[in-house]
Amino acid sequence: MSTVLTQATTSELDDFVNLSAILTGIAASMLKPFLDTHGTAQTYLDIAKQKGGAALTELMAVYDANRTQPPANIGTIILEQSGDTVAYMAKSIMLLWYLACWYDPQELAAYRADPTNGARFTVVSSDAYTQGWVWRVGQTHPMGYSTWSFGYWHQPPQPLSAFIGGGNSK
Amino acid sequence: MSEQNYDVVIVGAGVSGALIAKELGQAGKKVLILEAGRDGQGSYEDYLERFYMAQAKVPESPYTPPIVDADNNGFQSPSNPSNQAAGRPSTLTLSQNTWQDRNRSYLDQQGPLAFASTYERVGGGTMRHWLGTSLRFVPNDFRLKSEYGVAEDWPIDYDDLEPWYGKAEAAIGIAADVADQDYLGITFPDDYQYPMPAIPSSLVDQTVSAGVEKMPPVDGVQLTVTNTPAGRNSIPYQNRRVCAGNTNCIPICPIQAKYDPTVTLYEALQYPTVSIMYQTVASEVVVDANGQVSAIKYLQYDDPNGGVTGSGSVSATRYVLAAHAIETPRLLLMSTNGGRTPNGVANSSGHVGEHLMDHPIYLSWALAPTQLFGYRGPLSTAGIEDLRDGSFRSERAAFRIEIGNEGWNFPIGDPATTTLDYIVGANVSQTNAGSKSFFGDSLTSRLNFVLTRQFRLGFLVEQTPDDDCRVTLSPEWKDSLGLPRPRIEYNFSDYTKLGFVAAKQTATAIYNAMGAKEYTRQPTAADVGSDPTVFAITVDANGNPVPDGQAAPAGSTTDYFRFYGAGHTVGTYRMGTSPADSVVNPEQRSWDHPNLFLVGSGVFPTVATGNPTLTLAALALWAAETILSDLG
Repeated sequence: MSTVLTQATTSELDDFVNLSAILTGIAASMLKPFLDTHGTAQTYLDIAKQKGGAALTELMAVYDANRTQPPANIGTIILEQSGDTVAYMAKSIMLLWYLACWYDPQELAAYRADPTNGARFTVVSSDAYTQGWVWRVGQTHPMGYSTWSFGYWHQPPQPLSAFIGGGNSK
Repeated sequence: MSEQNYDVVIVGAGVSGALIAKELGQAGKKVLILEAGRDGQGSYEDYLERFYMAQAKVPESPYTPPIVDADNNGFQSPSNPSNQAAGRPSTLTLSQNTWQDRNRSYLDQQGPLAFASTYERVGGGTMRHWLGTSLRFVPNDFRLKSEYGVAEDWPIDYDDLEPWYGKAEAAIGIAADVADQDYLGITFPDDYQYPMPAIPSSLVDQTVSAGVEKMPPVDGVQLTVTNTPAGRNSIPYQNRRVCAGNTNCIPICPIQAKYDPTVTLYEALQYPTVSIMYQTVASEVVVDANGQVSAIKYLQYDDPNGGVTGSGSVSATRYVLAAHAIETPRLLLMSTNGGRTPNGVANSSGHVGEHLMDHPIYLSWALAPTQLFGYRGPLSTAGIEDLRDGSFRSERAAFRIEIGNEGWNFPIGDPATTTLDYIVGANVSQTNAGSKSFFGDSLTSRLNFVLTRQFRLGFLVEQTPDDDCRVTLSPEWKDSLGLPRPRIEYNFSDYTKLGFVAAKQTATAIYNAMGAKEYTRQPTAADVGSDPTVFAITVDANGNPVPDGQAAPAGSTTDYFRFYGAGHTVGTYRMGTSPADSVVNPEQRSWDHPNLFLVGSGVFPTVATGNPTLTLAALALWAAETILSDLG
């Protein structure tokens, strides 16, 4: 008898993943694959709730109010038309996905004003580090976490779409 | 505790100590190794976890003791070396604000420039975080004085060392093809083969190679890209796996496909006559009235952030100091024997601690006109070796050029920096003019465009052995065992600086030939004197350096350079032909104390033009044979 896997999701998590896909440009099905052994989406939602609090609520409300819009419009509304609280919360979430690091929204606002002293952050976990999306956008693996074989570097990688899906913001 | 019956006591469980211990153990000799740091065995997962969680993934980040403490928010900052029993330098303490903060920097840096390289104090030593590059030196590296009238000759030559290079290549396990390596006078025995086939070249190497083939000669030399001999596995070797291209040789290979000295150390410890004491810091070399070393005193600790919990001394027939080129002179200088050796042990020449050198790196970076897919493969798989020797060496420093496979990770901390630029709306990477922010497909496409075109060249410049570069003892700053920490004075000669001028010109010429767009960020006059990793050099219209403080004649140009450490700490107890101007003889035996050997890169009279590991390993194997001959 085979085991049939069913995916338990919540609309909250789905919303978080779908919004994340619009912002990051990475397919929702890759951010939260059917067989999600890492549980990264839930981890990041939990961090965003814990760290972001009211800012996350505000961000998700903007998303909810505009969810029927084309993805590109949603991104523009969130990042350019809804105020700094929403925009920088969104950027913190994007950086979670890309770098597996938490940058506080206020830290990012200060960095944009003057990047001289860098932006402070914490690494979410070693498991999250290995799932950072920036590496895949670069058509590679995280430094220190290759799942490929000897000599792969002598040949070009697979096309970008193989790493991040077909794109979600069109 | 006092033990009297060892054949040999070795201080330091890095590559030199491990290789010597294994050779001696094989011959049935009774050997004790004193290692200041902790055992590395069983902690590999801890190392990886610490690396993954590090906010700054610097070479020292995986190892112990941790180089950072975290505050209540989880933000990491350099830990206080005054509280550490076996502290060590950190790349995190080279900034204007930290390099002379002795509650952050283990080294008591006096300047005028910062000594920018670091080392480990742990089982396996500094080679835990080495790159793997295993070049032989070129013959003229051993005769800089006689060929070019510069610095010093070595008391040995390439032919003396050649058989030992072969033995070291087998001991470490080097992947290379002889046909690629016989340049600039390097020779091999007939039918010699490296232990493993070469590591394949990266797409970055292939792209740079296609570019330099189109270049006009530099200093009369046609440049070529050469595959780099590497201490990493291309086939299974020493029961270790083949390289999977983790792009992480420094700080740590996650699968140990790269050799590190614990491989040899644990083999040595399989011999019943070889033993080791960890967390045991040698504190004094005891010399008797006849000029022989009679014991080594040590201090022990339980808590890496605690004080002394034990002490003792050990005696042997022969003694080997293998604690690398800063801790070895530190130990010798600490060894005053109650005032009987006020200048330290093995120091009748006064040269212990003198002539500290590195390969200061001129780092440059660019975007290629086509995708070359960095961040893939070992950190480096090829270089340009043609400018390691030539008549220009009478005028300016030589260099080798290391081609990086890790994008702009070394220069600007990418991919994080460019990601922040595009998401937050900044332009630290200089690729986001207008500091715009992006999302969705425009974010992925812009990031992909930049990340897959990034590459960098590192020029390892041959620093001269100079009188104003030295290790002494800090009169004020101590570790938690109460031992004085190393005090460093460091600077560059004009000869060394002129190597940077040539490196900069060569980098730009290579980028132009490739059609690449250069992004190297040069410092300015304002950085000189404030940033301890920045210097200036002014040359007149004829290319001659204008001395500091002298008015620059018309037609002069001034360049400002930032340098980086290569981790190639060299030269503080050099070998030579005379006790008056060297610390050890060509056998690496102290001129002053015939039963004391000093090994490691501290014996190098010059830093030469190759990464030092293979040469110091060859010399260690040679010293082991001499010690065995002594013991009979």
